Amino acid sequence: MNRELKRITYVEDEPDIRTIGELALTKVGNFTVDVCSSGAEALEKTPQFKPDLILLDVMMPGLDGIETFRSLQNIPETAGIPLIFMTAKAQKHEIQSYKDLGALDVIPKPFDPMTLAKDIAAIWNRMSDE
Amino acid sequence: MMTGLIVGTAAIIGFLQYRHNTSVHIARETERLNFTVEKSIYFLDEILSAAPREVLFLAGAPAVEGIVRAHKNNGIDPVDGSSVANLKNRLAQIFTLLTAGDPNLLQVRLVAADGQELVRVDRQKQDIVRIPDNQLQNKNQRNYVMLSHNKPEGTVRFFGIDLNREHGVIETPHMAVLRATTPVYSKSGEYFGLIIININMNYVFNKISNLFDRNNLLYLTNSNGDYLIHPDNSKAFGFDIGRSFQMQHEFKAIKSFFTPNAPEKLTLKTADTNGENLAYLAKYRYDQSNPSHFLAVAAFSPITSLFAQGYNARTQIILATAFLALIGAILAVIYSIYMLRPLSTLSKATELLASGASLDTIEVPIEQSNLVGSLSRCFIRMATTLKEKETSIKAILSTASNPIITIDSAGVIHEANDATTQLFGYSREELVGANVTVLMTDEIRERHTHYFGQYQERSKSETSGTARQVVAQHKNGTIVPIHIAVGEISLHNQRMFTAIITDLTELKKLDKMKDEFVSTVSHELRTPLTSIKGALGLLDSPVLGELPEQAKSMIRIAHNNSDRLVRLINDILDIEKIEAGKMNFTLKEIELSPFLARVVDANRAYALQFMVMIELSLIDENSKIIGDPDRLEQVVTNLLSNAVKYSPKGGRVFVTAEGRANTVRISIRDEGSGIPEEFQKKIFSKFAQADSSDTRAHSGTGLGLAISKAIVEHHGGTIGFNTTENNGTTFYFDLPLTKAKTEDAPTAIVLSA
Repeated sequence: MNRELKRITYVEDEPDIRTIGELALTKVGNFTVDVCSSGAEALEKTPQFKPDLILLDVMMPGLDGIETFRSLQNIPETAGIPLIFMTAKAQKHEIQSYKDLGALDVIPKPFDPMTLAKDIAAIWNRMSDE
Repeated sequence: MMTGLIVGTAAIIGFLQYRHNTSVHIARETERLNFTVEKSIYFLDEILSAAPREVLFLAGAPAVEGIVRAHKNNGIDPVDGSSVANLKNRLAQIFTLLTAGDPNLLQVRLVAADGQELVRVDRQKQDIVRIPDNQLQNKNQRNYVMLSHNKPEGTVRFFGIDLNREHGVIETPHMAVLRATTPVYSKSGEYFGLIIININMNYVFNKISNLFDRNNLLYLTNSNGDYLIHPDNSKAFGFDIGRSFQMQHEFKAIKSFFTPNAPEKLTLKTADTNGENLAYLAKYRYDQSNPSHFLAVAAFSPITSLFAQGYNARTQIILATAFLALIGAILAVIYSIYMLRPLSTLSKATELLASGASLDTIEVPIEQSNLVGSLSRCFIRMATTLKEKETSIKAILSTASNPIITIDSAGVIHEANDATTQLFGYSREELVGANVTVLMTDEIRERHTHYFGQYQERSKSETSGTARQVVAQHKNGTIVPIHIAVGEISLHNQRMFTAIITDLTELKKLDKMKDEFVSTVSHELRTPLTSIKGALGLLDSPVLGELPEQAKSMIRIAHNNSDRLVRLINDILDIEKIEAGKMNFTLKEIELSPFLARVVDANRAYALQFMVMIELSLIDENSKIIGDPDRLEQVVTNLLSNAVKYSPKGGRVFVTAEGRANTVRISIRDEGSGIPEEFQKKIFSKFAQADSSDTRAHSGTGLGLAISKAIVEHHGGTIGFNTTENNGTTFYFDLPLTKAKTEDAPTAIVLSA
């Protein structure tokens, strides 16, 4: 999968974090970022965004990250899109459970806005190499 | 038993007494025989020592001298003109007076040199009679006359003892006679004749015989051993009537007594045709003119008669013993009725109680006033106390909120309390007798055999107090998490195990809630922190444009502290997991060399911020350990971070891995100021730092070493440090190696920073 990572759908319910994450991805990482503030919004808009990667928060009101991920897997347009969880619930066993669901990797919160883009790119490249 | 004891004791006492009596009898009898014989000799001496005096006195009597003179002077004494007849009358008077004064004197005579009796006085029964001259006899043919003639003046000779003869015929009844003679001479030294006295020995023989009682036998012999006295009268004076009976022939053991140089006295035991005798013999030498003459007095005591007394005593003792035994037997019977029957009742009662019978249904002889009664009352008290204790323990068990079960070594349940039936849904009847595996899940049931086998192999001290958490199964199949503590007791020589169970269902629920709470709180803390850290991170970067230098400095402070807050939250979560025993470890084989190189590399950038170099030395690059790489990285990173923070600028931190026998030691050495002594003891405690200012100065959380210690110990390792104030500190931890060190010589690799 030697495709360049350009467009990311970023789902985060917390407006402050969403702002910082978007800034980090666009200003530091130079990615094209579409943001969603809830799982429902992500399910609705992601098919249209056609992102290379989905960056998804776990703890969200309404549809949480896990449910959103499962639902996205059931939508043909989004089913195959690689997904990274970004969450504060990143204990060792939790990380493993996300990976078991099919997530590419997990970025624990709090994240470093200056290295976030680099970390995501590293995960993307690792995936591409496999 | 008791009868036997009594009879046995009596028999032993009887035997000892009998033996004692026997020896005492022998000693006493010997003494008595000795006394009797000596007394006999005393009596003989009394008579026989008088004889020489008497004959010498008579030989020197003036009448005798007158007769001697008259015979030479034609029948008239020239001194006073007395006629021979007159002189004989005077002498006869002297003989009569002497005979009257000595009851043993039988006859006194003056015999002429030709053997003719000149004067003779006889004792005839009660009278003393002078024999008329016409009845006087010539005795010149008699032995005692012939052998006494012409002996030197003053010689006294004894003859006999033999039986008296009159006119050559032995007088009857027999009369034992001893004759004593002494010669009579004229003044001019011419031999005239003899004074002869006959001593009646019957008298002294009777006197001696009276000394002997019927049990003792008296023998008296002359120097040849011829009997003068014998218990069988026919044997006395046998030599005198033509039948020789000698003592040495009758008693072979005393033959030597009659030989020359034989002892004067002899005590011995004889055994021959006369049976066994205790004997005492002594010689009495009465004849000064012939020292070879003696009388032998022998006293015999037949052993049989002597022991007849002993036999009597023995019979008495046997009778006494039999009597005692009879009394003992009667007492034993009475005793058994009095004591054993209630004891037997008590014994039965004990057996019944032991087999589980109720105390009310058991007959116990408490009314007895003796020891058995006292024992019975104690038994009742003991049984009552036991019953009360049992009731009390049962009540405690029954009301205990914890399930308690007792199983035997085969796993069979012997007891289960109410809490057990409530927890597992089985009735008590279903549980008691069933195997404990009914309470187990399939998985646990398989492992149970293994665990239980291990239990059995352990000693009581090892098994007691063993506790662990397992899952059990309710009757309806529901899984029940439990904590089980096992204790061991010995009952009827069988190992029994008592398990006290704690239902962990509620605890597990609480635990889960707590986990969720901690997770949620940490999430809730991280959410604003993510914003703060993110915002500060962006502000600190050129992405949003340059800020004035002072503002940048403030932003950096806030940014660093937000980092620290994140680490603190992470460490608190770790500590919470460690303390709850929930830290998960994913164990895998780790090659130490690349592992340490990677961790050191990951920390170089951090070290450079403090202008510190990290140097890695591996002593054995092939070492492998089993562990959780993430957790061990956490440890090394923590120790490195501390070493770096406490190093002086431009300092170096050395990381070494050194293989030992079965372990590998990973050391991190710094060139810092060392650890103050007062802080060393609490260095692995939570929130421990050298002083309060350190937290700020070195931006640690104070939890790193506590977490590291827990992780290392979880790997079966140990952690420690060596420090010298102002001369650096070395922290190290030892982990078990998975294989023996390679045979290669140790190699050292130094990786430059």
